[in-house]
Amino acid sequence: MGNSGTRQGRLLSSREAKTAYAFLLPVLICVTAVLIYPILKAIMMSFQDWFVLRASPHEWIGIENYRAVVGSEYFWFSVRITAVYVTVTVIAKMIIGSSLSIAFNREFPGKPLVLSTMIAPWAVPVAVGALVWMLMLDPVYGIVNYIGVRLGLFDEPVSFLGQPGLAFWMVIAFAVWKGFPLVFVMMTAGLKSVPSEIYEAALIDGADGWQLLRRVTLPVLKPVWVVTLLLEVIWAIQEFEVVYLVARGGPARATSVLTVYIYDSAFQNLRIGEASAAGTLLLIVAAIFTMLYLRILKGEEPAW
Amino acid sequence: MVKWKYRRHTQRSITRLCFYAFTFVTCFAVLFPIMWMVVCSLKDNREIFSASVTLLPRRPQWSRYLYVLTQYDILGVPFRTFIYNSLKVVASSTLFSVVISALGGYALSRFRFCGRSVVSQTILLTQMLPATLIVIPIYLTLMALQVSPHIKVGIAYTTFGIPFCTWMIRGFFDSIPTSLDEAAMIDGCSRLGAFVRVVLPLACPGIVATTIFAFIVGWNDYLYASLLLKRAELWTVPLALMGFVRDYSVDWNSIMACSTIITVPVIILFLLLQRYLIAGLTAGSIKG
Repeated sequence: MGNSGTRQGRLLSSREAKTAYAFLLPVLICVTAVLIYPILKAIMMSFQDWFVLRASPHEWIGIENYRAVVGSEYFWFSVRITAVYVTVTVIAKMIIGSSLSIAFNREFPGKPLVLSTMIAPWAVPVAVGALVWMLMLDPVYGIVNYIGVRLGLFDEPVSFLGQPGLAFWMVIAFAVWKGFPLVFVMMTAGLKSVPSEIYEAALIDGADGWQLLRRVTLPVLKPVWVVTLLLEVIWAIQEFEVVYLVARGGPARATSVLTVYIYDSAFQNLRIGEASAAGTLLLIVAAIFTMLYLRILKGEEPAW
Repeated sequence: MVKWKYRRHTQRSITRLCFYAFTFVTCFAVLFPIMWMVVCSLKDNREIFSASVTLLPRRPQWSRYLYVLTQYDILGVPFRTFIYNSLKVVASSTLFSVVISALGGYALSRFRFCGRSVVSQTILLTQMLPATLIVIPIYLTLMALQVSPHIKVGIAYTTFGIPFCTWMIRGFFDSIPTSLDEAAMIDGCSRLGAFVRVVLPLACPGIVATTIFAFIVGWNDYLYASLLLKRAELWTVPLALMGFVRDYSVDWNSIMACSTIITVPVIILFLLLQRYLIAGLTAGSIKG
């Protein structure tokens, strides 16, 4: 902000730049050392022979790691379930988060309490949430089974986290519960930016509730919605803890999304080169969505 | 006319009633897992395993909280050690992240310099990097470093917090008029003086929001801690909670009490500072 453009500003600018870099130095050091360098190093490792048990030097082996990854059936399975995981969780979070924010976008007694409730799951540590999920879904003393059997939804207790198909959906349910508050918060903030005059004007013109929603609220919310959607996709692709802590990738790899695949190949199978290759592929996908996000933030319509 | 008014009135109260019913059901559903955690922590051992699940504990066992804080252990390590480990690591990483990001955020907000937009774009971009990819080289680098494992984890948390914190705090600084720092500097303050004495106090809500964010990054982490902290007595709370599962222990009451102890303070903190958090979060990611 501030003084660029004015004559004084230009005179000061070289001293300014020095001060600016002095202020920024710690950030730059940290970001370079712990984020940028590792990412470059990981990309480099993806072209090297990095099997931990084999001693260095790590030879350059071209695209061998990528070939191994792409040739593995398990990798493609992970890609498929990651696609399902990302699509379902993001859509569910977006729908739940935005419809609740619209529903609660009015004055009513107890509103602060309700808003606080909506963001509570976000404050719960992932490990705690995962434990509660395990306890609730336990086949012997879980509340879900108890209620299900009582209501006759199923005849005998179901091992929700023990069956591949079910476990995957339980992880999705957990991810949605844990993640919708963020969408809710973003949307609530987006709605706050709508001047109340717009609503008043529409009401005077005789719009009913439905028309207000369709013609005023939704169009106003759209830019925020698009940005949030992209952020959610970027984050969901990279989600690790939410998936891993509830089901540890199992049973029978049913919840082994790409991040779990990378973690397993690096730290269980010690195939670090292959893990880096898979991670780099993940990075490319995330980068594509990040580009879109940045373009939209800058106000350009993406050119597709 | 009166009749019409009356009908309209009832219609309105029905809508209102529906709205409240909807609100109540939604809140109940969202809060249920958290309530269930608290309820289970208060049940006695027999009750949690009995065939008929009770919705509320018959005789709440408040003393269990004292028990888990003083006597309960996971894999032979007392639970309070894990809390102490977590607090030690996360408090220091939070402090460093906030100080570093405040300086950086101030520079990005106040100075025009060559490379400013590159720096701010890069900081934004690093937020989007997959942690599971970064963790591999970081793990190899930090493993080779000859410092205590807690310091390694602390370094990781400090850095992961920084990009978002910088972005967030910069949004708060942007909302404070530059004329204030200029006035302070005319009155003889240095840049740093103007920043510390004038801008920082005004950005207090922003600092609070950033602090919480930085705290959450470390407090919730499992991935880095699980790789860098091998021995159980070094574990942080999330590792210990997951270690409980590996322990094949069945003392769900105690583990739920532990979970409650580490979750409820965070939730309360969130609720108290909700407004600032929301402002910071949305300033960071929507306005760009």
